[in-house]
Amino acid sequence: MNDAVLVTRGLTKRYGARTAVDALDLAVRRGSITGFLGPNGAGKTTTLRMLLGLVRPTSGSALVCGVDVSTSRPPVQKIGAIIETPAAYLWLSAADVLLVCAQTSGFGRSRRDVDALLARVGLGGREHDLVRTFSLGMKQRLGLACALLSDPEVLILDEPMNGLDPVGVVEMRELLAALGAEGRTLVVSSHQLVEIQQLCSDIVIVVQGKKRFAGPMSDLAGNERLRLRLSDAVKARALVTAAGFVAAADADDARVITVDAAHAQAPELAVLLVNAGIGILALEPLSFDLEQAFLDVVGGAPALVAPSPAPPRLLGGAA
Amino acid sequence: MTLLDLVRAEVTKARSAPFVRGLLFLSAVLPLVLMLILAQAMSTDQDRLLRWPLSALSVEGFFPLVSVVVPATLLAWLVGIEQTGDTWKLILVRRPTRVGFLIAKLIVAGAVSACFFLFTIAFWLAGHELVGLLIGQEPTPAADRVIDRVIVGVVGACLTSAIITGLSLLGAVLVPKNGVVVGAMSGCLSVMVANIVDTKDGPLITFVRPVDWAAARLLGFELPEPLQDLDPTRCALVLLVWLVVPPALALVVFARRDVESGAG
Repeated sequence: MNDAVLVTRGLTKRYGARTAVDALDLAVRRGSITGFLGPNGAGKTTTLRMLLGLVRPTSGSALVCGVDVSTSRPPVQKIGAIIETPAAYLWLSAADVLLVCAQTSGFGRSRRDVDALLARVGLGGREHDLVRTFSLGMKQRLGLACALLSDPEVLILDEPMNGLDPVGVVEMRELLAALGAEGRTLVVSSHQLVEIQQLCSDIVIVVQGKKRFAGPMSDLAGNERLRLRLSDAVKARALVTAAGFVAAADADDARVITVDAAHAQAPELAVLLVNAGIGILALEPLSFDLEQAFLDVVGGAPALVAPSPAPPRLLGGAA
Repeated sequence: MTLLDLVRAEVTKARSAPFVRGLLFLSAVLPLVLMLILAQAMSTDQDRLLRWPLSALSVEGFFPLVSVVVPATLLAWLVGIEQTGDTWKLILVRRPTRVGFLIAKLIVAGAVSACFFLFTIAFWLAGHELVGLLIGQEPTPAADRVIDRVIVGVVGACLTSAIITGLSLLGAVLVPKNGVVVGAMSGCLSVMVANIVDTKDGPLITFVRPVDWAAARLLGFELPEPLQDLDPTRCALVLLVWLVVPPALALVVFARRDVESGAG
């Protein structure tokens, strides 16, 4: 894949008998914003650490900007990263932390650059405050500023929204979207799936170190579905199945079925049911919800849910 | 992207660190306090100065102690704090190789230790004069010759410090989760163990006699009796092993180690 900026092939990391990452094959498109998802302990952070050269793979390869970081030195100037909880020298000011990062990277940053960078991540006016006085969210912002120091083309961000208040989450999402719009490639690991859904174009889901899904968000969304609350769900399910639809009973509500059907097919379906004397209490087009899709992938929960509760609408038949 | 950049980064971190500031503060306060203790002892019972624990506070006892404890503790802190603060991940991702980080820390630990040492000498002398004026007599026996004694011992102190910092570095790298404590302990305890293990007629395996031998040779002094019979080649070899192997091992381990999270 020529336009892939991050590629892993058979990437594996074992700690003794435990396999943290198991033969992971990934390709992250250049310029994409990829959500890297998985339950706790799925191997996300270990994978990201391997991409950054912090952890050595047991086997397999990891190419970052064309460089195999499992055998060669990582192209550090092209990558910016936040890994897990934000870390900084608590006794230093925010400006000094950036200075340390700049000195470590081997390039100078003027005071104006540092101030502008801190302002960009929402820490304007806090340059001289000691990091120990910062909240978790502020440390997160400082971590992002450090990641942006080298103006990297790839950003690897592990839980960048952790600890942010609701306003901060929105600001961070908008900032990350802006960074993506500048042509950077972002890999964002997060448990805040609502934000990931709004931010990302691609999704990777790993479970127990193995890839369960990788591709555009639209692929994960799958087919459109309709959710129906009916007077006789058993009869309705048999009827729509006979008509060629795929229908599933709801585990929690005996009067509800979910039908794999385009939203535009709702009238056709309604006519079919009404003509059979089945009362339709509600008919709801289901919108894509990443949280449910994620649960579906990792644990088999239903992937689609109604966008909002709707009042029952009697289209025909008896209740 | 040079080693100098890393040294500058270490200086930026160290200059504001409460630990380093406290250490430099101690370099001023400690000699003055010790001088007062010695002066008080001198005025009552001079023989006490020759016995433990006051014997450790004499020029011959205090400065070698400082030359061991300070660099070992400082280097252990410089390395260990990165692990306990989980900041390795912040800086290691900025350079393609890791070895420079530890070398920069060794340089800064050496520089700060040298500052500490110089401050301590200066304040020792100042304290000596001050206390002498206050009590109307020499506060410590022959303390006015402190510079002579320190200069004579400086080569040995530097060699010992270099070995200690190497051992301290190895300890901090091998046990990263408790790098500060283990690093400092491994540096300081190794001196004690070496002094216990090393005997006048025993096999030449520790750095104690090779350091004394090298210091005397470098300063052009006549070798004292116990050192005259030592094989120069073996002395140099043992010294080289102690100087090179621990830090080299630390660098290799650090370069290959997985950088995992935090202190826990």
